[in-house]
Amino acid sequence: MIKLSNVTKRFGRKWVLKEISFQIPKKQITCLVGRNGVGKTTIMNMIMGLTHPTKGNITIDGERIHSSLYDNISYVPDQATMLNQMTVGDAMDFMRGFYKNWNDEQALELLYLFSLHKSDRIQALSKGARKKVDILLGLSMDAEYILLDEPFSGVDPNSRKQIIDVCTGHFMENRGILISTHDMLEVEHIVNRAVMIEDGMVHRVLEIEEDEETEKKTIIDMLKEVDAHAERK
Amino acid sequence: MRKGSRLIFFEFNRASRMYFTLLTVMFFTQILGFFVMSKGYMGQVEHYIRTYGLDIPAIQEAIGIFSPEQIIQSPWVMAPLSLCIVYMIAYTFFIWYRDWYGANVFIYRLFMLPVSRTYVFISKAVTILLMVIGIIAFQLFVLYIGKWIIAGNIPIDFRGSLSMLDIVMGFNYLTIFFPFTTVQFFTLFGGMFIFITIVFTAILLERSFHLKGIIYGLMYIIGSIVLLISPSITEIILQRSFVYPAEMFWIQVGLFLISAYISIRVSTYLLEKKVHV
Repeated sequence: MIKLSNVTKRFGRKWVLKEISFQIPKKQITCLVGRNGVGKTTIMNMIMGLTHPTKGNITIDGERIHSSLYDNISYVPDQATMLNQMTVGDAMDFMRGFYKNWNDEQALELLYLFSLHKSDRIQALSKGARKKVDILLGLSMDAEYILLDEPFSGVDPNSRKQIIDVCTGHFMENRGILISTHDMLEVEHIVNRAVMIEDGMVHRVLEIEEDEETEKKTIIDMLKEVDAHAERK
Repeated sequence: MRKGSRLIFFEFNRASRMYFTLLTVMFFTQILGFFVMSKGYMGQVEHYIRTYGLDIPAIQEAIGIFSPEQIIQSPWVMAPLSLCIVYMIAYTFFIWYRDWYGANVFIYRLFMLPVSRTYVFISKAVTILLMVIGIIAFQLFVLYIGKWIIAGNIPIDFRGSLSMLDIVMGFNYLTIFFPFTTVQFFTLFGGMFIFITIVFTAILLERSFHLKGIIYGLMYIIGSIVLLISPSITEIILQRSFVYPAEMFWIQVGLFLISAYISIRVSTYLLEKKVHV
């Protein structure tokens, strides 16, 4: 389980996150919901040790993040990360060389599903295709946890459909997933929990099935209510 | 360790295209210089023979004998070598900053590798050092070929010594970059490695604290230099020496090791706790 306890983050004078606490259980899909700039990416970066909390702590299966945990937790950031001069094959070789959990079979399957080729040079790929490369690299590891930051945003409709198919398919099974997205509609049916972030705080944690049943509303309706509440404020 | 060497290879590979282009430019420019200048000199010799009918001693007196230093100090050799030096200084900074500011943010990948971030630091420092050693070795190789070009174009009566030692001495103050003994080799490249770690630490201070980090970084570099030259400063201020030269050498080695240790520890701390993507 990934556990965030009273995590606070300040950039200069701006408090981005205030005392947030939530958990990402194993074998469940947790969705991080919130408007642009509420700190979703910062949360993911902090879980991965790419930026550091001002206060509070984050543990992964009881341990603070350290280098050997990167074999067990994979992150697909919102930005392209592989070097332009590399080919997709070079990027896969790079990952294979460093990660013991790299799964070649899975990588080849994703390569096929995304209609990518090992010889494709990253520089020559569209934004959507670059995103697919990063998703391929992230999901081809047999990691227990996967973090996906806005996997559907800023890509062409065709790439978007392919990414949605992959992110809602068997690649996500039996892993603890944290996914941040504006497009709840696309992942609504696979998400187990939703963590709503507002004003740098956890506004609400929804256990989708239970809450939908008790409140007699869909997750989308509940999110709309939160949005409306935020707008009124 | 295997992953560490893989990182070094990877970093070197990233730099290789521009690096080998520079070495190629250096090779052709310098070799061309050896041809042009030795042929030019012989043109003068022939001119004196044809026009004035001078004999060898008279020509030697009139235009002097050809010294390899003339080529070494000429733009043919110095310009490409300076270009390599400037490139290496710039690359010492670029090797970090391109990972943050490139078209794709590769620093994410580097920081998420299942290896200690100290390896990332060391691999970049070793890459710079290997590139510098490569340039120096390649320069010696070009000089060696140049020596034979001079020997082939200029008769023995008209040229100075062509021993490699004499040729390298033509670099004057840059001769320090060409170690003649094993001790010099380790002192030079050990010192260079330590200097690279100091500059890297300053870069990481900037990456960690931004504007304030620039000041911290400059202070770190100045502090490190003061530490490294403190024995010499002490001697100059007090105008006397308290230790034998051999002892001074070991004190200096000790200070260099302390400086390297501090730089690596501070950088590791920054990489683990302060630097962010």
